Amino acid sequence: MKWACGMTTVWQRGKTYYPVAMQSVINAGWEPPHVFIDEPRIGTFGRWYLGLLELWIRHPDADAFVMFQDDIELCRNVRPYIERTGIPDNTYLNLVTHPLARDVAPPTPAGRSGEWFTTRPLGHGGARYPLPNGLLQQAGKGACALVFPRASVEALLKADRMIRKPSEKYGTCNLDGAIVESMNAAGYQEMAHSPSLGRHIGTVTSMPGLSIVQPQSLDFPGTHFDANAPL
Amino acid sequence: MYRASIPSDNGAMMDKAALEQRLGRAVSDFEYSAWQKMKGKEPVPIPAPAPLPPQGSCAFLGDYANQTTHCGSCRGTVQLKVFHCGNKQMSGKDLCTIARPAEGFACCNGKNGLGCAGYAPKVDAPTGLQAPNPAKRERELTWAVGLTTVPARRNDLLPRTLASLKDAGFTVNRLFVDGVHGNIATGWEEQFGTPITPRWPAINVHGNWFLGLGELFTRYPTADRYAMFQDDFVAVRNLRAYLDKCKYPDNGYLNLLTFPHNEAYAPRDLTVNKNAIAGFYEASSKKRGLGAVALVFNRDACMELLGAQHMITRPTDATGRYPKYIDGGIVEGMNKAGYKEYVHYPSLVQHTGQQSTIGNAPHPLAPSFPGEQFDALSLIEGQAFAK
Repeated sequence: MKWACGMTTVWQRGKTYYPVAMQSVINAGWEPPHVFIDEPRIGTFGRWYLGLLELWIRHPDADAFVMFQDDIELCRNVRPYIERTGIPDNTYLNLVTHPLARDVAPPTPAGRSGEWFTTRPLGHGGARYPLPNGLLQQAGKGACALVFPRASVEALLKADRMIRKPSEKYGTCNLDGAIVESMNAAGYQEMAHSPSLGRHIGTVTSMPGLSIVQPQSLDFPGTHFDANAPL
Repeated sequence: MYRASIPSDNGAMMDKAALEQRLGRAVSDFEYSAWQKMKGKEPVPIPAPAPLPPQGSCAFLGDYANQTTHCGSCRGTVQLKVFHCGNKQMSGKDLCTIARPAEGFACCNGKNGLGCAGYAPKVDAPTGLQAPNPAKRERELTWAVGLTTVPARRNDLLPRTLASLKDAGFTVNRLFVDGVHGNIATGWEEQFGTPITPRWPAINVHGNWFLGLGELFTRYPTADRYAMFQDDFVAVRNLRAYLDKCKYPDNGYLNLLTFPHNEAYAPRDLTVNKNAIAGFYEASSKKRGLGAVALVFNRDACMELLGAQHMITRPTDATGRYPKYIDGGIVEGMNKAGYKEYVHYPSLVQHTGQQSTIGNAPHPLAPSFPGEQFDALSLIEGQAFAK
């Protein structure tokens, strides 16, 4: 499988989270990613979207694209694990499993590898948001480490939601929501892994004016855990 | 409203039907009751509106206090940033949160009825007095201008193009330099006084141009016009002011360079001297696109192009035209979206790059270009123009 790998970062994390994340990505089996530095600031969404577009243009023959943010840690050998399990049809992968996804995550019995599962739909209680294509709108929690098969990148880059996003009120943030809405509308579902293959290590967001940070995965087995090994 | 539309009857009582007859139209209950209350009285002063709940930043909001606190009203394990509060009257609460409340801290979120007692709206400092301009009734168009270039043109064609654009009234918001490492980007910024986006390693014409347009839209999502220029042309004076006055075509985009092939299709004044008429007209070369040195899009056209299937899949094109040719890709992508290319007579820009940096054949010059010293504002749309 041919990969195109990118990472977004900001200058102030150059000596804090970024080296940790970069080393973790390499330990997970990827080549050092193409780094997209948000300077001067264009915002989280813009840098991520333009980064993915640049990866697409630079690597038009890649089979899969992975975009990292600079505050993650991953298990070892995640890349070979994904290549072994494959990416389910019409899906994209979120390597960091949000704590709120645990209620729909399958149990992970000892003695076998974990598995991919479809993340929870949007809405509290019984409220759901069905889409015209038959899918339920998903919540899409976090965009620290996302893996896209080739066809889904094309759908994402031309999605109206992504194109118009910069002109919206929260045009520089809420990246995860824009991605999951665009992907669901195009017929792709988000999948996460049980246990989580990555962990969000950024305790304070780099987005100016925002005060809420994403909670950490609770079932991340650690950076020394080999994703190819049985649990 | 009703005070102006209901006539005074000098204090005499009048029922609703009589009032309607006098006015010659139906009168609502609200209008009638207001008219009755107002009869023979002084206007009732309008009470001052209740103070608005906190909106926008608080004047006392200080820097991030390098600490977070648990959000009691959020699901999961959400942490809130804590900020310093500069209001000395908030005794005992010198820290606050700004999005959601947290125990032990003040909270500035007025939207949810959690207004802080010490909140005061932040007022931007005045930037200077400006006399009202009665002639300035229409909002000026806002432009986002990007220019793609390469290091080989740093000291000859690029400075000339930038100088000409300055005379034309454009401020270039960003240079997209293909093949420059970020480490030496500051040298470019100092030389040209314009922020640059370096691309390393080089990504070629299509990639630099398309990423540039995407970045331009992302940085200036509310601009009225998006201009993408290349580094090898000159323009007539006051071009921007002229374009502001021209009617932008529906479902179209503007190519400011008019190739000889397109000049032949300019509308002509057949009644007088058969000269071509100044103004924009639909380019004849559908699905071909002649030149992309100076293209202008409105917001809709810009978004259409950024999401065009043809432009997105172009990097995977195996025909060999990608990545050298950008003009054909743009016109084809826009044509498929129902947009047409419009060119102008006379040509508003002239190509100066006789040697392509990527080995393409040289562009022919635009014969109708009236020269850099020509003032575009002297053109009158719809009237014949002779060079």
